[in-house]
Amino acid sequence: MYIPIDSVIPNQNGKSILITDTVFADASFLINHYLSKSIKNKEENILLMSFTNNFIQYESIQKKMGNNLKIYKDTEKLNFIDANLISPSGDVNLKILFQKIEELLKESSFESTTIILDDITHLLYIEYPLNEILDFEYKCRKICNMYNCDIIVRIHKDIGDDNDIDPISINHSQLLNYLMNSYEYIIETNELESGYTDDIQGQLSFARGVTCTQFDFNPRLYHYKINENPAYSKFYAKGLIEGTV
Amino acid sequence: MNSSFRKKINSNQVQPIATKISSYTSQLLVSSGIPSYDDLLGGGVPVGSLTMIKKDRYTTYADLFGKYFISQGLVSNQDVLVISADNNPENIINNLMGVIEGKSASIIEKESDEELNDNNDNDDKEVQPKKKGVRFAEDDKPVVKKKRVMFSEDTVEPTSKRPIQKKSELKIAWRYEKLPKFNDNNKNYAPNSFCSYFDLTKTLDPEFIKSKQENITLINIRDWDQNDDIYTKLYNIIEDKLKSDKYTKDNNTKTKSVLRILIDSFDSPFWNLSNTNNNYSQKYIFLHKLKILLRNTYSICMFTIPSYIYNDSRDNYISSHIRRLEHTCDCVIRIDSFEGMENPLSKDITQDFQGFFHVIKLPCINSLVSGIKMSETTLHNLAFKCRRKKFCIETFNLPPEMEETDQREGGTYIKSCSTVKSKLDF
Repeated sequence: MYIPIDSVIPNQNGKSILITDTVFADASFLINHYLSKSIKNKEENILLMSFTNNFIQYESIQKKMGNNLKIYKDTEKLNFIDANLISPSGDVNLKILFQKIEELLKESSFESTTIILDDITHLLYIEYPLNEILDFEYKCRKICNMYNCDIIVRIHKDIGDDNDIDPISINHSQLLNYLMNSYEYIIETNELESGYTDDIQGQLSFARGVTCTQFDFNPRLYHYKINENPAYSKFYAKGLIEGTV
Repeated sequence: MNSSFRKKINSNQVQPIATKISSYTSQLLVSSGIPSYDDLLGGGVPVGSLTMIKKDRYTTYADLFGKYFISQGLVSNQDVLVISADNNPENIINNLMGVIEGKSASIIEKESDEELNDNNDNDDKEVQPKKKGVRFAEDDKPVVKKKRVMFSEDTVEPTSKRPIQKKSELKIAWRYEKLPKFNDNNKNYAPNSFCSYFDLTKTLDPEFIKSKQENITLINIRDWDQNDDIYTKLYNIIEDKLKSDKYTKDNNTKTKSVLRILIDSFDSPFWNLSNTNNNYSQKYIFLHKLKILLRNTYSICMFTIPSYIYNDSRDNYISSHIRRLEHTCDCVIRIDSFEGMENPLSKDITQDFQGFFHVIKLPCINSLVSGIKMSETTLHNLAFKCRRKKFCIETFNLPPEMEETDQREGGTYIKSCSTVKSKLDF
């Protein structure tokens, strides 16, 4: 759990966060940050749906961050859904996954739930029909609203700008633009604009989404260097130009 | 750097041959066969990782990676699976680079026997070692062996040759006579050593390859019926192969091995002969499923990809297709040789290096940060050189300015303020 990140976004339930990243600036640390945060919070449980990683990946990272996921696995506290083998026609598809989410939220005895969708881009990459992805995402967001739950979605934002007819990248940019317009908070990770340096890995920006109603939230820009041990990670607030403050 | 701190490692776990555990990420590592590349990744390539090597448009340096990777696998007694559509996989296997100290121990023995005879003929002991050094250099023998020149005839030679003869001649170090002899043999020549030395001027002994036949599996995609779904078919074959007890992550069998998979020129035009419209998601799904498979077994995959045909080259990284594949790979490397550059580089650079080595993504398996100790600036400032015998990756730095100026030529150059031709007059 990285404290500087935590202090930016208001701590109240029912928020929606979109995390966008690129190949060069991987945002898995943000996913793990929110995972760790919810594990530590006794009143929350987690629904982690992963399309690209296995459980061991989260488990070993969380171990280094000071959480033992093993004891929570298969309890109500941590519901891990491995959706790696999702396919439109297979046993694991979005309809079934949504049913699972619905059931879990209904039966939950916790005050609040955090739903994490790790990498929704995977659905696009395997050419899942766009309307079904949109439908799934919309339903997830609405049900979170209903139960006052947090939803955190990760999406890659690097779409090549080739002009050839690549249906996946057309869908990708549509989905990305749509999501950017529907979430309350948008966290972006980027590589450094100025090149590479030893002490900084990339740039982290917190932006207000269109639907955000929190007035005490200030957009921030951080330079970061991540270490699994949060104490060794560094976050530097980027300076602002006079006049924009 | 050794420290007294030991990581808690499950001792019940059987460790596959020729692997080591990273001290930083606790991942199981195997060697890629290129020491400098291993070093870059923090000791070796993590088992269960999927590596993409983007080819260069003008050269075939990327193929060397695959060859090193396979050679190392064979030398350290691991199993290899070579898949290709462009080349005949047999050609790849038959053109592997030779190992200097490897399994070909019989050959080394033979050589040393010959040398013994040579030495007996030659009575002049003073000159002998020196001559040897020269001879080795001529014969493209390993550099390591040149060290022998430094040892006088009476000391114990750390190299393997003539151990029996030398034993009786121990004079200075008589106290150590009974100690087990330090033997490079066991360390470097053992079949399951971590990393061997390869020599690009040689090819791997055909006899050796023949003896390893059972460890080698070759798949030629072009032999297949192109109307089939080659990606599903290939995945099923790999899955079947990995079902063997040797590669599963349980403790049923005592000996575990790592399967090295090399896919040569993945996604070249030969991979889509049947479908006229390029089915992009098929390749992504194949790699994604392959990655899951790799993670759950003792296996490792490296593939080269001619990314330039998808508009992904030096100046424009715009291919969204390649981007997607990059996202699913653990490690992405791009070879960018100096060939075909619009503005040719200075000769000083090109004689030192052959091209840039770009690191796009480093493996972060079960961790948030990769196990590299290299600083970020060095990491993005690498170049590779391919010498006659070896391929290595180094930090790219410009050579000192060596222009032939008047000053260097020894021309007159007045340093003082006065116009008089005295050099130290102010």
